[in-house]
Amino acid sequence: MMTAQPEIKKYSTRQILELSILILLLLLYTPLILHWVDGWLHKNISTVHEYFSHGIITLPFAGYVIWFNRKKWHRLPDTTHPLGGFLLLLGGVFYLSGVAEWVDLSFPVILVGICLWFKGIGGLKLQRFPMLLVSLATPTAFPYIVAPYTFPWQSFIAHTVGFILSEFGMKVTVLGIDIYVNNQITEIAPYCAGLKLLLSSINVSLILLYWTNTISSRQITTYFLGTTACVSIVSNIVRNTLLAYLHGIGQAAAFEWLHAGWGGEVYSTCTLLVLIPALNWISSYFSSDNLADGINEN
Amino acid sequence: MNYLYQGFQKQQLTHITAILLLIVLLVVGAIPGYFTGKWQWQSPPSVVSLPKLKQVRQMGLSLPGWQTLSHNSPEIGEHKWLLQNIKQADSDIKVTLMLLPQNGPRDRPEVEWTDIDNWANSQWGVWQKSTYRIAEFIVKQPVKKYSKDQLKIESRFFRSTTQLHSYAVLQWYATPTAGVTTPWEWFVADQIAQWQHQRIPWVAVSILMPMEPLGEVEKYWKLMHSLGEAVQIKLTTEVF
Repeated sequence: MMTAQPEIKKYSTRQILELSILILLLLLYTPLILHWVDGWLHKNISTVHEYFSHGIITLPFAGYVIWFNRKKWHRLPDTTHPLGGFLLLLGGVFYLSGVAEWVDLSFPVILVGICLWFKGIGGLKLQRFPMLLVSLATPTAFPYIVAPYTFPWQSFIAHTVGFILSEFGMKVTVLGIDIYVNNQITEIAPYCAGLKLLLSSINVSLILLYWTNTISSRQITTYFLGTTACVSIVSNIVRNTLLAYLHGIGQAAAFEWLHAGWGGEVYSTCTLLVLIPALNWISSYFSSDNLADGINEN
Repeated sequence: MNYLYQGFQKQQLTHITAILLLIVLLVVGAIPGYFTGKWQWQSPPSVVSLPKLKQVRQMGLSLPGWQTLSHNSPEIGEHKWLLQNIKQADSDIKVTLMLLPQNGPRDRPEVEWTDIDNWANSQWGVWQKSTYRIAEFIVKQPVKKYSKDQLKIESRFFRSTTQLHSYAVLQWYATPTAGVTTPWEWFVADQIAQWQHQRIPWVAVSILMPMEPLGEVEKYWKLMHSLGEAVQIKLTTEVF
């Protein structure tokens, strides 16, 4: 009879306090994060904001990891690191400034502050992966600030594209960052330099590493992130080559599709999919290596 | 038991301080947003001088001692610049004044100098820059509008050569009380201003003066500098 009755759960004072912190954080940041997501989906905030669109995947994943860690979190001893208090205050000042860049930044600052305030360094260590994802997904002015300095890189891409197209027997001239194919100019603008693809690839790679539990191996992590960077650079050059080609032969519709339309998304997704077999290969290569090492040590 | 109770209380205290802080943030920073549906971080503070900046985009600047011969608005990079051909009233010196005023509260200076290089490259086939230096000049406000007495203008000064001509070139981002050469410097100043609910409006200025092929560009510094000064004074006193 007793078991049939719904159990009236009594929350401890502590649980109520923890719940109120969670609710307060949700109230503070839900509108901001919805604004970010809206900007990522509808591309209506700025070009720079789109550099962080990987947050659509990484923020929910970070949330999942934090939730997954909740038992370990509770088992950690309660200690307060003074830096936590400082970060909470700093994040608060950023939040109240109302200036977009700083309100955005307040999100990771307050989250890290909370880890340190309640569980000290151990708390931050436990949550370092989700904190890394949140920090990387927080929109900052970084892409804007580096844009004026990527000219040599843009010029390198333009010349590589020119080289590839001329290997295919096309008449190509490259001037600075302009590629002339059949007298049609394609410019490698700063925002075509591939930073966006690089950022999303690195973020997806981090998730893959965590998911496959290989992030604890320094070797695999280093090699895989290196491979990711190379894949994204090559992929970006191939995309620019296709764009210059399509523009040169007058395929305006196809150019638009790959440049600004959903073709670009399909292309990036394909690039990201390549990363999965790459990780498989790298981790099996190193785990067989480790196995051999282990036997030797024994 | 007593020990346990005390330990628990201390832990409650850390929670309560955090909760109090978050409540302050909620009441001051978020409740107004929930009630009005408008959030401060949605859009930056407005640029007060935007209407005047738009006028410059259409009409250019009238500078004392210089006549406007013609103006047009070519697309350079992704922006419509204003190209103003001007002539010194008492001589035959002709200069091209290129202006790109801020076009909205979200509009930031980005890669204007690269854009101009590309445009010049496609215009003349070659655009070979040399003797580049950062040139500094001081502008005094004729009428005191800002608290700063002297405005420090940092500019890019160089010679550039096409197949037919050489040009002395002077470029900077003009703001009400300073001139800078990189978007980064503007960005920092604008962020500081935004914390005080203000903005730093900007105009990208590029002056091209034809000179003898491969001549000594420093000979033109005095003239370029005085023209630069006239442009900055005009912008500071009448536009920003």
